[in-house]
Amino acid sequence: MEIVSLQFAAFVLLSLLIYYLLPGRWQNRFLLLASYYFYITWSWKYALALLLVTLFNYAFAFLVERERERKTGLVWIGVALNAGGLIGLLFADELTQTLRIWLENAFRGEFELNILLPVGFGYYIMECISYLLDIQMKIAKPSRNLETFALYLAYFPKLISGPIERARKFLPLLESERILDNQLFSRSLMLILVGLVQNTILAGLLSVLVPSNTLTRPQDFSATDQILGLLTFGFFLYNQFAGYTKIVRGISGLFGIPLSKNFNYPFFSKDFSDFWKRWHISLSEWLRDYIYMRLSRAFLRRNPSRKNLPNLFLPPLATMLASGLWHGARLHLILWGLLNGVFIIIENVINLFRKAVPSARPPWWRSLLNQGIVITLALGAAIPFQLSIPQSKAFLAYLSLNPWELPDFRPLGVMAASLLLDWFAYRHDDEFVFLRLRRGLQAALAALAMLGIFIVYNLQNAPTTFIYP
Amino acid sequence: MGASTLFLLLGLLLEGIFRMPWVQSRLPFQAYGINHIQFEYQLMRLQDFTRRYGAPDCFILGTSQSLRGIDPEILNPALQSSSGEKLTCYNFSIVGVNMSTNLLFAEILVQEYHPRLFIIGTSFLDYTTSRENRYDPRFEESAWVKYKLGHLNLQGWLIEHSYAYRAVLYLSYAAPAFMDFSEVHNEERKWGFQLSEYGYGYSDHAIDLDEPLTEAFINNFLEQFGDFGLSTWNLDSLNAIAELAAENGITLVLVEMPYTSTLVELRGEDGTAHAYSQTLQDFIARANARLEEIARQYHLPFWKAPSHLAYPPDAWHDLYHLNVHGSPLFTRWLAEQLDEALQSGAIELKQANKEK
Repeated sequence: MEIVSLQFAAFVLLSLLIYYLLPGRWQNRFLLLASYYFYITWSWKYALALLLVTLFNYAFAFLVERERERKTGLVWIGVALNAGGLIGLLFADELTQTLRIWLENAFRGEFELNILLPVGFGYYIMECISYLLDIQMKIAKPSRNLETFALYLAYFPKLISGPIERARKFLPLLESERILDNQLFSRSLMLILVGLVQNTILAGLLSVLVPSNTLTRPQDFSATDQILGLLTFGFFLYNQFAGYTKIVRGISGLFGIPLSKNFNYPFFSKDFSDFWKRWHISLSEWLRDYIYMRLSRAFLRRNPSRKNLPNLFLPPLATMLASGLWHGARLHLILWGLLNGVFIIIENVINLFRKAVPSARPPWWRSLLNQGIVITLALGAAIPFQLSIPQSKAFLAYLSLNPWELPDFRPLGVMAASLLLDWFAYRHDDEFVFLRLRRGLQAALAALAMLGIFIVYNLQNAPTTFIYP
Repeated sequence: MGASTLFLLLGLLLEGIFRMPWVQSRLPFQAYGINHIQFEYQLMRLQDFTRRYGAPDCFILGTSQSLRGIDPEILNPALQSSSGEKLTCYNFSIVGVNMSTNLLFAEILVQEYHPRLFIIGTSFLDYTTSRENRYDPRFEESAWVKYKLGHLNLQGWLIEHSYAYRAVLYLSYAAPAFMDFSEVHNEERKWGFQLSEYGYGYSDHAIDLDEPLTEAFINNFLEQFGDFGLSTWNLDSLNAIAELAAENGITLVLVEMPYTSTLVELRGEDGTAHAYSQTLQDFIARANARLEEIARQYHLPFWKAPSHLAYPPDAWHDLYHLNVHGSPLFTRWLAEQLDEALQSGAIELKQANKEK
């Protein structure tokens, strides 16, 4: 069951109805059942994998708690098993794909080779690792309630694509009484609507207006189309993912369980480090807390200087390489991680020569220039994120060979609308700024948004032209 | 709540706008969510026709062969003079569809128009295995078709009743072409015909029949036959149409649509008939035998395409489609067959529906 679908909407409405009819002590149980049902609609094997991961980490957490005083390093066995499972499945998935292609080429036939990599696996494995590490660091305690712990991992609004929640924050939420007041209700509805505008209208229009092969078949396009394709990819990815997160946050809010923010207007970042504080925040923060900070602390313990070179280089590099690997066990994703790590290192080095306390507010042109640089670099790095290394090379080679022509301006209009939507909230530093508008204007904007969603949904689901035999 | 009310009001406002004749005249066709533009034009023409002349009481069903081969503007006057009563035919043949899809159309037309006569223009080309393999299920899966056949659904209801929703669907047809509407309208140019107000697809393009067939054409054509087995699915669908007609007291006539001898001989560039020509002729004989069997079973006339008609040299759009010079001849012959059958009592038409 896809999140942005009518079936999912019906599932949520029905779940909400039952949820609020049930007494409080039954609500978690029902959410757990609903979450597993939701996951089974993807595959029962996924649900089985989740159940096994849940039981293992639930039990292992008690061992970690018991052994932590002795510092036996038991926690690392748990971390290694979780991380090893994820990395193993990522590599196995990649290897089977390569093997399948090789077999198909060698024997000129079709081969069915699939490794079970459950949807959302990477997200709940990260939650399990942070859970064990937090217990080892004594900032969390093992959950005594298997039902609550199982719901923490399986909770359907965040199961497929996050946000990655920390157990120490999320478990108490699940154990507390749900209060859906007017503010949470209106905020949740607003999040769903804005999320749909981003996910359906903005990302949808970009997918309808720009050919999807501008990146993969650069030989068929002009250099301007290639750049437009790259820009489109960046804005599409952002609006689709940020919109998706807003939708699931809104849905979760309706159940009285707020989820973490995952995007914070990344196209208005002042530098690259700032970009990663605003893009896929729950993953970035996880990597920061459990890789960057741990490494950095280890280096600074030995040499607390600001100019500690290993500390300048290694933590960002390791963090971004881990991020690349998390996205998939492929060389081009590792390259993407490496590039992002290098950008942060360069920034760290430049910052060494800057004043520790920056001037209060940079001039507008400088902010704009910085934002332009960040977007350009992020999009440049997105080439190996989306394309394999040979494809990336071809893309760059054709960029210098292809002619420069006047581009289609319509996608640029959609991107401007995306920036304007973000700018409105960014300027007021309030993602719920639309709720501050007059009621009539709010209603008019919401009605227009609903109409737009309805139209673009139909555009996206348009039938292709009938081929006459 | 306010937003939902405004959304509904906005929807109603758009509905009002799209119902205005000025706006309607600017939309080339009504979109029914299938993206078979000829079908959608055909529906629009049928509605225009009904507004102008009343509901047709006879429909011609089939594919491109009957679409291009039977002109109701010639058939209707001839039928009226012979039967002595007004009989209005409309050509509802749709390019590239299977007999199973024609069954769906027949069911919708029966419910909507209560016709007295169905004429099915068919030929061996409708019963090749490739016709089955190239089946596009979108008619069967269409929300509108389901709605028309009595399966209530919101999208089908919207398509049937909302002009604004049909405009949204029209907009969506440009989506696969990155919202380039010229691509949508290019489709019409690819047909190589225009639709008359009677639904007849006319073109004056003519081929030179003396031209030998290219190897590529022959290979492509033979590919359609697979192992030269008959498509039982399409034959079963024809059976079902016959049953539907019988249940509703509708007279059904099967008529074989003509094709050139060049096609059957598969005369190649060296001037000789292709080795598969005999196999093809056997296939045609088997297909016609099955059609005769169905006709006998349901007591229907099955008229084979006449070989004696002296088509002018410029009568053919291609090897199996007549053009504007060839179709009048064939249509007049069909009118004569119908006339004879009616006069002799071989076929009888049910009483005209007075309510229409």
